[in-house]
Amino acid sequence: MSLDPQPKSERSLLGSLSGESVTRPQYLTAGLAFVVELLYLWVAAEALLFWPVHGAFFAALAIGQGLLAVGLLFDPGRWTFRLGVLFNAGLLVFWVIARVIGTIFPVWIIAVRTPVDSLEYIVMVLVLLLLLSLIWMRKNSN
Amino acid sequence: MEFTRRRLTKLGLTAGAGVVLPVGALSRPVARLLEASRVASPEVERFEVSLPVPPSAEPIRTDETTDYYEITQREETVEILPGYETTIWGYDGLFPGPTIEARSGREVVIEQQNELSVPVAVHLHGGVTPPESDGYPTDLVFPPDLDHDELPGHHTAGTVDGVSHGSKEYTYPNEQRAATLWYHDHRMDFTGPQVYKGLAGFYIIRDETEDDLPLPSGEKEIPLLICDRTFREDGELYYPSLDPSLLGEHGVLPTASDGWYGDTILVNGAPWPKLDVSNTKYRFRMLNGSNARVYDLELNPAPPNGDAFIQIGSDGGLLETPLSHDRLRISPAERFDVVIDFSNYSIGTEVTLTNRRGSGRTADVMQFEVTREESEGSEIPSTIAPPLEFPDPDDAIETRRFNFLAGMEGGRSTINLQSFDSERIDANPKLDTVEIWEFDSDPDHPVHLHLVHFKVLSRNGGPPGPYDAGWKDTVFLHGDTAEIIARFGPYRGKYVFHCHNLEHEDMMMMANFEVV
Repeated sequence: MSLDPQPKSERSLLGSLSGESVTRPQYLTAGLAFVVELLYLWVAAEALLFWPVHGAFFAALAIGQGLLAVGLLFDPGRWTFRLGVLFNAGLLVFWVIARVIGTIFPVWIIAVRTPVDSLEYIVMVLVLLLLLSLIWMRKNSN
Repeated sequence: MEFTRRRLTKLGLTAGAGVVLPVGALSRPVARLLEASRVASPEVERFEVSLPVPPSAEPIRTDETTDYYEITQREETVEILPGYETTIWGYDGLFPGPTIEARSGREVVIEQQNELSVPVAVHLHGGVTPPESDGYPTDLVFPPDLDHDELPGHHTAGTVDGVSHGSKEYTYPNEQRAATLWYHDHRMDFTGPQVYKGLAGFYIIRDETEDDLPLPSGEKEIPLLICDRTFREDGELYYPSLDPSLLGEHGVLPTASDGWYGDTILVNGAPWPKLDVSNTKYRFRMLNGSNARVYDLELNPAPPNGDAFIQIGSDGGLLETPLSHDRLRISPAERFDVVIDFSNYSIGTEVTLTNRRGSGRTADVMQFEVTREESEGSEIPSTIAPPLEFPDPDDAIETRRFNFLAGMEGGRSTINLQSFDSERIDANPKLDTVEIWEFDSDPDHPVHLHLVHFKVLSRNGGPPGPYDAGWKDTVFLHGDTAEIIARFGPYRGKYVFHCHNLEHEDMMMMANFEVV
């Protein structure tokens, strides 16, 4: 897949380093994924002290988002979008299920301690935006 | 493979996002986790330090009915490991704190002054105490310069007597039998680290029944606060708090979530101490002041004639008749009042108090050396105390069941699948009525009730265990089921009951009962 190449004047530093044409939607979506990676790393650092399994889980999510961000910047193909959509959609579904179980059986779901109280909601909103952005980019690339 | 500019840039960004950033973000927490599993105290020779005995506190004034004390909780630098300086938090800067000597029926008033950097709450463990002086976990005494608003809300919710700044007066009526009690910190969510830092001391109540007994006394009556600690290589105490400031997040690192076990055994604040004794009977008021460690004590060598430990008292005071043990299992917060008869050993014998549950350094506790002959001036009578008048199970008006379950790593520990809520009442026994409480659990939980003393009726459907004799205020559950009976009183008010594994307690294994 290739997005419409931008004129030379619109090439970025990344574009000149890589010889790629990187579009604004690519930057925005990759930037979203990158921000989510940073937030997950922040949570992972806290969660690791509390329960290493949780910490490792969030670290894995963070790395996944980071690799997605890089993939989006370098001529993303069909599979980059598919995996990105699957990954983030799966994340959202998992979060909803965990919230429901946690509400019904509060001690069965171990609450992850986050540095900021409402952080988990902020992250999931960003994940949702990332998911929508990926879907939009995929549609517009066809 | 050709390394084009594109490929190199992609590789660099992938390495950055996939490796460098995560490693950078997680290196510090990983280092803290590794530290907790690797920290080891400096090596210390065992049985070199003499056993210290905590000094008795002196009242600042007395009147016809009451003794008045002032105790200042403050930070102090002491030598625990020979050659090392350790910062402790102590009552009057001492670890253990000064021993309060009280008389049954005579009131004690203690003004506790807080010169530490954190709030405190003082609980008299085993005391029959009015609720406003019982040290409810959120009845905090703040340092004078710490604002109430600087703590998360739940730390001060549901108080019984409100919060104080600078100091608080605790009143202990001592309307109870002679017994070995102890006082310690009980701050909501932070009891573990604050007791660990040194906030614990003996409180001994005496009465005429005990005075009339020919038991060992004077220098042959010795309190032993047994606990375990780990020290950093510079001699400072190591405790795996999530938040070492103890002002924010409570709890411990995952390696300690089932209890923090130190690698150095202290008795009265000294590492593996030694006590020179004569070949006579000695009375030891044993207290397990560890956060989580359970001890299975034994004398090595075992006495050739007779039993190692003659138990004369329990948490709640003297037994009716003495009880012999070859071994003594003592869980956190339990007290066993025992006599050891050193006439069973020849002069020069070194008798080691060992811990069968320990290994390596924690397999030893202290050592006695029989150094001299003396004539025996004491005896253990066949009847120690009048009949103990336990409640009759037929008089119980209610039976309650409580399940104690330790949380998974990082999870909350619960009672009946609920974690502690200072504003929720979990049992409401009526004043001066008898209730039976059934406990079941996963291992290991020393369960403690404030205010009341109870009798263990049964264990696992059978008779009480060998360490359940007499009045108790703490019962050890090793995955057991235990049935206890208590009369609730003499005060109305809100009290707590909880697991006395302090790491479990801080992770919410606590509940309220309100005597109505």
